[in-house]
Amino acid sequence: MDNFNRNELGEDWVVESITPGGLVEALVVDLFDEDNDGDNELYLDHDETLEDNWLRLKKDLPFTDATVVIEGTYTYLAPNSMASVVLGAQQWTENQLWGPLLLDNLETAWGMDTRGGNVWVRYGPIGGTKVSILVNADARSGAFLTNDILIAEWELGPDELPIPPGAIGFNDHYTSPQTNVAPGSGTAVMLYDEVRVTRLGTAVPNWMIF
Amino acid sequence: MMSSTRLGFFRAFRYPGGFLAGLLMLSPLLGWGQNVAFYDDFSGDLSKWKELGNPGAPQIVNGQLQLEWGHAPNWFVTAIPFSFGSEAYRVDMNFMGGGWQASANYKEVYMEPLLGATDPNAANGAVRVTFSYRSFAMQRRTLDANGNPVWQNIVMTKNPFLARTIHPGSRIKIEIDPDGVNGSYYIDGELINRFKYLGDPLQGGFGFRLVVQRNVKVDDVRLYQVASNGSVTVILEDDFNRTDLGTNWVNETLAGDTTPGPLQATIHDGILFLENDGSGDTWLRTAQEVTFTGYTTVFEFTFVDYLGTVVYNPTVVAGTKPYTPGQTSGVVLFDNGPGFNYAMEGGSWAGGRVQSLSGVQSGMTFQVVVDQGGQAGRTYRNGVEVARFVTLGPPLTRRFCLPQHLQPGRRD
Repeated sequence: MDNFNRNELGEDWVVESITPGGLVEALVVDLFDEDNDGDNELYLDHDETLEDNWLRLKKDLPFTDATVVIEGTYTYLAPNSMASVVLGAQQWTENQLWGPLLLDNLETAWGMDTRGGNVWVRYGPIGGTKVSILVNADARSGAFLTNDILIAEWELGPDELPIPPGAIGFNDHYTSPQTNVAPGSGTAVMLYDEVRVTRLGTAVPNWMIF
Repeated sequence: MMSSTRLGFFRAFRYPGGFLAGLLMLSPLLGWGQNVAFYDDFSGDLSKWKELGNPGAPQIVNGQLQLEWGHAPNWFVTAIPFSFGSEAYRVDMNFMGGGWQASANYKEVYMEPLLGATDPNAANGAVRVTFSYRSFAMQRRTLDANGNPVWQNIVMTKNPFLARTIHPGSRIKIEIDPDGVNGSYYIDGELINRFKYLGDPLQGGFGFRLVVQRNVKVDDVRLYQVASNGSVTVILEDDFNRTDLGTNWVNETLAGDTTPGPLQATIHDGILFLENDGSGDTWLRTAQEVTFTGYTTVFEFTFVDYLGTVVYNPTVVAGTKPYTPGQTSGVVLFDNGPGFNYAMEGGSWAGGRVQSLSGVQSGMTFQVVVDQGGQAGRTYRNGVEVARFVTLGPPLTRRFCLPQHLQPGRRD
């Protein structure tokens, strides 16, 4: 719980630049009564340089052990600014940090994979992720997992045809080469390792798989 | 979501024959009952693979498969097929990196696994899986009316990211607060959004607006008011179990007199059919009008199905009254489902008259709920759920922060 009713930010929060070569000073953090309601608010003002910064809570949250609820109020949003949060933030280290999740306006989600620069990943997954698709024997239902953790179950609608017999593989998303913005980094590619298809058998009913 | 696998394990022991089921679930650990149908760690060559469609530029680089983007339709698939529909499979793929670095601070990664791939130019030639941090979807390779191969979205009945969409059979409820201007939109009992009408408190009835063939079938309409002490006054209940529409409803054209009007409102087998011929703007409104202030006013109905080929979700109007060109005002439009923006003012639809309270705005409260396990969760603005997410990476750990940054990719 933090109502920011004090004059100093204190030790629980830390301002960091998350841009290679970026400046912490690009983000001004202050506490004052911005809306004149008698108590202080947290004031975040970014200088609109070509940098990313964040104000990070230093306390560990028990994401893996319990349901975690984070709530607050955006008292004032400047025009064209975004109400955003990052989950799973850690001390930012260039070329090392991966895994935090950015929710722009609490709606548009990006992963973070800084290995190779200051990079937010759209659509995903981030590099180093094992993606698994479970297809039940009826070829109409199954599950998705990432890194062996179930994220969702799926089931085709009653009017849909089942997945047909055939190969597994990868679809090329683009009809023309996509050149990476970084000079000299060439055409966009996708890198894969260890593809495995495990036969789960014919007699395993759905309820035995989940 | 996270716990269903674990629950499933214990659940198996409760079913008839559950002990055997439990043993089978343990079989991967015991080393029997499953077998690897395909495996490649890319330490050798690409002989286990083939390309369908256009040739690409697959190669092995540092013990990993590298696929260059830009050759679609190009499918890089296993040389052997799998018997989807006859056997259950688990497909594991490790994405190691890459994607399109579109700007200095973001890149796009489209990992699109294929299942049941046979021919990019054939109907049902494969199913494609698409991911994002907010959802997943499946598309089927099929042929359009001209015989050209296209991806067609697959309708899914189980997908936690689609739980809030309107679908045939949905029960839709619109609730106006006792102040007559604020309200809520529900689908199947779940709050979809809050809204505020920026005009005077509403007064009138409810109805369905029909234009440019947004035709629907509806049933079991109920209009009622709830007083502060909880007492309920029913204004209209209609199950349409008759043949004539009767006098409880008024069919109006909204651009002057037209006889016969563009809207056909008829009853078939106890269901109300609403069909607009595309020649004008119309509504079918309740004949009865009420004062909204002082009561919670509720209009609910069952959306039976779409009618025709142009698919729009039901469009409801609140605060309806006899239409007078140039005069009728104070009618809120819920367009294509929970679409808030327009209201009728001075006989015409005017934008910017209804505000979504879950929009991004100053004074907005927010809530982020991360499910146990740190792999998925949901977000709320002003108490309204706006997104569900997964991490598509390692489980979330540690901390939370407030970022200040340019929109990824924005450089102005």
